[in-house]
Amino acid sequence: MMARLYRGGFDALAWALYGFMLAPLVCVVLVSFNADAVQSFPPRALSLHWYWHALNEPSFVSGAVTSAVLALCATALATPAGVAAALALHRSRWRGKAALELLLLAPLVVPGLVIGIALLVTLAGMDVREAPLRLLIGHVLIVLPYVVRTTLASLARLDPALTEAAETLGANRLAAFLQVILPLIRPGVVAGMLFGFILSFDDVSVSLFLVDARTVTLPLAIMSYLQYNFDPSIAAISSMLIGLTILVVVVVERRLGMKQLFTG
Amino acid sequence: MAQVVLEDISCRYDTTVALDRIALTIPSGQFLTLLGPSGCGKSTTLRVIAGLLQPSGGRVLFEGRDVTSVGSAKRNIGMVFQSLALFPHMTAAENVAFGLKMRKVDVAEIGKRVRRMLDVVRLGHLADRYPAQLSGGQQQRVALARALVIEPSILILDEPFAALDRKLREAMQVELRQITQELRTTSLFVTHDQEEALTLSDLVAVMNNGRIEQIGSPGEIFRRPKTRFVADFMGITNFLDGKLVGASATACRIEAAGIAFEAAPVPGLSLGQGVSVAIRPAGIKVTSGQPPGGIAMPGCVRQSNYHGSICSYVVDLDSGPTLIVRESNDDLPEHASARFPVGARVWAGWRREAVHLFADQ
Amino acid sequence: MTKAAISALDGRFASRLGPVRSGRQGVSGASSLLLLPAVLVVCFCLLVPLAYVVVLSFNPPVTGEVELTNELTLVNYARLFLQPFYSAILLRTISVSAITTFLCVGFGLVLALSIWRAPPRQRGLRVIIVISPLLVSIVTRTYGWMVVLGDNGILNTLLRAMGLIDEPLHMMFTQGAVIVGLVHVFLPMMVLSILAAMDKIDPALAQAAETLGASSFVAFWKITFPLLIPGLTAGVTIVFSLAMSSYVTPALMGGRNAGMLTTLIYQQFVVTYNWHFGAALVVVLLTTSLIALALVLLESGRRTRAWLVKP
Repeated sequence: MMARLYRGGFDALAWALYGFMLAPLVCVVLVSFNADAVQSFPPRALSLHWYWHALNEPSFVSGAVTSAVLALCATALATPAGVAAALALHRSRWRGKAALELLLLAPLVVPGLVIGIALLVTLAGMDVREAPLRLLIGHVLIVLPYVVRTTLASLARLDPALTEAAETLGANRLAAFLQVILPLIRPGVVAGMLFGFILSFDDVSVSLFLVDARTVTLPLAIMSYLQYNFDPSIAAISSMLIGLTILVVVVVERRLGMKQLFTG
Repeated sequence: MAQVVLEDISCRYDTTVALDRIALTIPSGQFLTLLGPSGCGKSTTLRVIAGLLQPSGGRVLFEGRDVTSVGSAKRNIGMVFQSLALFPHMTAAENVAFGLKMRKVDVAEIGKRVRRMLDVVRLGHLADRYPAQLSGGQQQRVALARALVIEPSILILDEPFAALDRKLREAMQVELRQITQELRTTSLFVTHDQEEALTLSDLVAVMNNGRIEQIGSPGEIFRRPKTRFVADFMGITNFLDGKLVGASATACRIEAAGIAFEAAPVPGLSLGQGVSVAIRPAGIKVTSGQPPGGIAMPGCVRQSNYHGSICSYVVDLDSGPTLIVRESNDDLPEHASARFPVGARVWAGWRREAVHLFADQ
Repeated sequence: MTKAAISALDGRFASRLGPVRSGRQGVSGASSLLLLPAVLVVCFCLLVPLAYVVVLSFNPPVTGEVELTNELTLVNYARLFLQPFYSAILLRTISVSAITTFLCVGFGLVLALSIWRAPPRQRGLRVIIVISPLLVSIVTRTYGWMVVLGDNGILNTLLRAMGLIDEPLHMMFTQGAVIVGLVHVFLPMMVLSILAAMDKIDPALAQAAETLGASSFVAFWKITFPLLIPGLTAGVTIVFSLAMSSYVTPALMGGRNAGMLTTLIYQQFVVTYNWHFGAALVVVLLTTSLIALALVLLESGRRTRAWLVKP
């Protein structure tokens, strides 16, 4: 009897928590289809009006372009560096290996806000004040540790004899890497890139101090819009972002499996 | 197919010596097995020959040519790894073709040789399967085909059957023996399983603590172990401490476990020297009364175990030592599971040929 | 001898021999070259700037000055610790982060267990529900809570429709709202940490305890929970330090009286341009997180030292 009561209470709490996790996202999507400017629930009439409004808001459009370009460039720069570093780390049996790994994953541990401030202050001290450059450096730091981590995790899953097998069959180091190792770690690398891209695109805390009036990323554009307006165009742009993310996630899940993003 | 020679090979990790001045010759076309417990240096030896490990001293010769500093990619070896190391993203045929592609063999030729080799290992019909879609035995054969298709100077196998169940392992042993004999490949096999070593090899080298203890044909190793270690590893589990009390050209006389008996002469032993007396479990016969002639000691059965075609006894000799005895069940009555019950008084006797002597170190 | 074997042994190869690996390799030339770009990026774009901030925090405050000087002072720190307005913010930040972490542990255990016990086919869906907030921008998530908790928000509308309240409850722009937002943001990370630890636990253990006479409740607390400590430790350290340094949630949901260290830091750098004081605040933020982290690791180490086998 007690056991069943305990079990029932547990399940109820669990479902309440699942609801809690989904509530804000679901509500954002619901509100985005509301025809009225004032928030009302349930919506009195449905329309796509606010989507149109959001797509015509100049700060959103330029923000989206900035964020996309920034995330692409950061991923393009961080991926080769991260994969190369992970390979070297995986291969070495050097004593300092653990320390180096920690160093490369450090950007995950240091709060984004602190990364942003540190870059702002240091670059200002060197008289570098170009927002695009500052942002790019910051975002490379966002993407890099994810690529390193997922690549390391994929490498750890490989049979260490594979490289040796390729070598005994006559492959040199480069051929062994390109034909055997790379195809096998590709899913992990791609997962790390995609996750890094999403986090770079969505980032607020690193970018907060690195943007300037002319170069603003999408999340920061939404945030400043939000401080003065509360109309559902925010919901519309947010819904579009949710949709985009779901799309990416579904593709990743289909092709690679999400799990490796978080393990290893 | 090449003759492979190791000259004075040493290997050190930090301060530990993994290989201590190994000398070994694998004659062309022969199948040699390195046998020994884990940590004895057999895998290190194999990696030195494969070029995956640089020895700290000595030379490796393939057909008289020094290849010590040649990387494994250029040694032309075929290796079957313990984990098989099949490339999971390539089909069986692509796996087999890999070494030929690396050698820039032309495409038509690759196709021909891959097909021929897959037929040799009886996998022609599964060429387009990925490793994950193949059974354990089929994966083994792909690995073997991949190693053999490049017509290697030497085929190296690192405990490839360790993960297989007994039945499959025995089938694979037969198949491997047949294929290597057919292709006359010089082969080096590493295992810790003495039966496997005896079944497969032309030559067996028993290793211990980074040295080769004895090298010879399976018959030699099994029947005439040169050291106590080899005897132990070949399944001779009965050791008595004794003393040499007499020697002639045709026999030597030993005193052990309270009695004196004769054994085949062993050169190099001096009178009064301490020796280990090793007696093969299958060489001992248990009888209820004292057997006429020969060597026998009274004792008591402590344990009797039924193993199917054989059964084993643990006999405590009255003079102290314990013997393990193994005998065939061929003559056993249908419903009995042992000739002697626990606690029975028996005599344990053996022929002179069953005794091996080793000087105490 | 075959053709291939002969050619491999041919002297022509001797001139272009590949490198042979030695028994135990250090970082070879090629390996360090591969590491170089990433290590340089992290050193020059993260470690050096962090050091810069630390030094800046000990320089005397001069508005608009960003270059380092040799003059060292504790003025910036004194201002933080001696003025009640600032020290109250520090305390509030710590307590909000602690409450958030505590709630995340409790809720995280419930969610992780519910995922762990779910039939395999449902497991994937449940994981996706839990990590869905991670995949959406923090701004979107926070806006979502404003839609739910606002005076005209969905929760108030529902409660009014059900006749439970007449006047809307003021939920936004309070400390409570900040905590709700933070828990929502960090719960996924806690759940993932706990799940990672659960994956390593043999499911037969709890069953073994039950065959020995433990109820399922006791089996959880005595067997499963202690084995989860490494995962909980990871979760607690991540959540606490991220909560300490979160900016968007307190800035958008916190209103005037629920400011945290991060909103104060933002003011120093963007509004009042007092970078030296701001740098001191950043250093205090990091130090507090590190101290908390050290305490948690010590306690967890004490509880698991005897049995935890390091991989």
